[in-house]
Amino acid sequence: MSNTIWCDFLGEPFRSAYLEAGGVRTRYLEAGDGPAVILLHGRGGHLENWIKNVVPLSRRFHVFALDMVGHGFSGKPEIEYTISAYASHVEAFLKAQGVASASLVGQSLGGWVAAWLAYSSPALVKKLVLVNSNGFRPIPPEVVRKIRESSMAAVENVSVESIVARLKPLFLDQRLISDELVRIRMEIYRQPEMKRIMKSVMGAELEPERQKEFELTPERLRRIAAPTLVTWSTHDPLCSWEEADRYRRNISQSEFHLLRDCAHWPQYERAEEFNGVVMEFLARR
Amino acid sequence: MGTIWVDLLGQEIRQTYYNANGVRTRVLEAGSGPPLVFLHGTGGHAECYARNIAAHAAHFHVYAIDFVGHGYSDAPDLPYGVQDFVGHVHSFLDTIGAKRASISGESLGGMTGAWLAAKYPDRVERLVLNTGILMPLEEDGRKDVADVLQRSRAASGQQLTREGVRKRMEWLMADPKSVTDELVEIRFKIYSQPGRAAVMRKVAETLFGISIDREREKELFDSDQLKKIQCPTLVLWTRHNPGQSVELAEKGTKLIPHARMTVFEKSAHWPQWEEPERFNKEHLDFLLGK
Repeated sequence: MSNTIWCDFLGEPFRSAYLEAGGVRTRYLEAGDGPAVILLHGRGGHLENWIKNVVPLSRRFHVFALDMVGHGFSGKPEIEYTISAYASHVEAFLKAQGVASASLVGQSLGGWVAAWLAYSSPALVKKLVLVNSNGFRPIPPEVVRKIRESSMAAVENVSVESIVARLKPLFLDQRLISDELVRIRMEIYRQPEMKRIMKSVMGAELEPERQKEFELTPERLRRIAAPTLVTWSTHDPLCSWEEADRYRRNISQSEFHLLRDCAHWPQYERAEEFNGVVMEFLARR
Repeated sequence: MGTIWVDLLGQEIRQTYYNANGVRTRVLEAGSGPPLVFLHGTGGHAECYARNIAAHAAHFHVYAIDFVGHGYSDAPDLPYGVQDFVGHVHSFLDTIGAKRASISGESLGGMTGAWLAAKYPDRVERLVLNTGILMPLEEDGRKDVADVLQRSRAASGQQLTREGVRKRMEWLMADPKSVTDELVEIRFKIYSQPGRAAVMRKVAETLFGISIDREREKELFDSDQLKKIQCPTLVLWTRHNPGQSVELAEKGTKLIPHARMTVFEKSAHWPQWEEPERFNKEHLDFLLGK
């Protein structure tokens, strides 16, 4: 493994830092100048989700990738990890950074949170990019069971094997599960509060009635005014791209881009194409 | 040991550039408190302190810089003698507004620190000479430096290869396996910048050339300078150090008014990389006056 994360950041101005956002100590990566773009990772994830996107996007934008509340190295308060709790945290982060409005790019859970903000706080969201996003219909019980099991197993017994098993559904090409990605998630899942948090993040919040409360129904999607790019992959383990087209059909100003030969992390597995499409969309007037 | 990202995981750090009197200077910067400047060796770059920045950031405002001509800093047309590096660091201290700073240098970085402390005693709070001191080479040391000059030529020639870079970096280590694939890739990328390999070649020819040239060695290894160093100084050495032996470093330590010496057993020219736990502990104890 020679092309490590540091090699991608070599010589590139960036900052890894923390800031209080709504009482939550929040880790973030920041790079570039220009209009603000906020990157939101998936359930049980962390900002390294975007590690192949931060530098390319920083060529034209002021990029922030953050660890959402309860995730990564951010604070892990005893709260209900609802979609609105994540959204409030993101809103507090923007306020703390002095960013009045930003484009939001969210993958999986992050997409749900980003879309929820575009629906509930429209003045905050300039443009929206949804990447294999959850939320427009309940995650099927069979998928919930699998992700819950692998996530709990990974935090209860942090090992290379348990972490690899947790990361597998993210990639079509399993060779992309590098030692470095495994090590990063091991360090994060080893934090003592992680078991408690994961029970909430992967437990109560994935019950059907809770998902229903924050579901991105057609009515809610129709109220999203921000220009929206929906990207999906051909091999997403949660939802087919044909079904996901519901976002495009219901969000008024929206377009759809399909990324081939990748699973739940198209932003990583097809980073170059993803970066090009997202840059073009965000830069367009 | 993991990758550099894993070593720095969750730490506050930034990679940024400062203008040091016209020289755009890459810096890895972390922490708050009194300033501490880390200086790398000949042909090196700030990443040589990847395993030390986080530990020191708990107590200091750490700046690991790329020397002029090196890494991602500017490479103007200079002779690339030691005084060019002394001037660069002096300007850098002005740039960050540090009236005084602790300076810790490895190899060329240590020699630069020693010259700086001798020339500008009011600017250096504490000094660490990590495997580099202003003492002329003895016979064995000359052979080591002639060897690294050959390796440097191969690693900065027209045909830049990862294998050549690896061979050059193995010279630094007691255990060749300490040269990770990532380190090789980093140096390969740095040397692959347009025109950079030629600068690295010039730096190696100049500094290593002077080191083994009895007529000119005093331009670099002027032991009289050691007597002028006013600040507390740690001479941090290793049993397997190429170029300058433990015995030579002991002689040099005696010339420095307020110096003590420590010798690491399991590393060669990069103790901060091969023995990071011990380095971070002893180095911090010294800087904190413990």
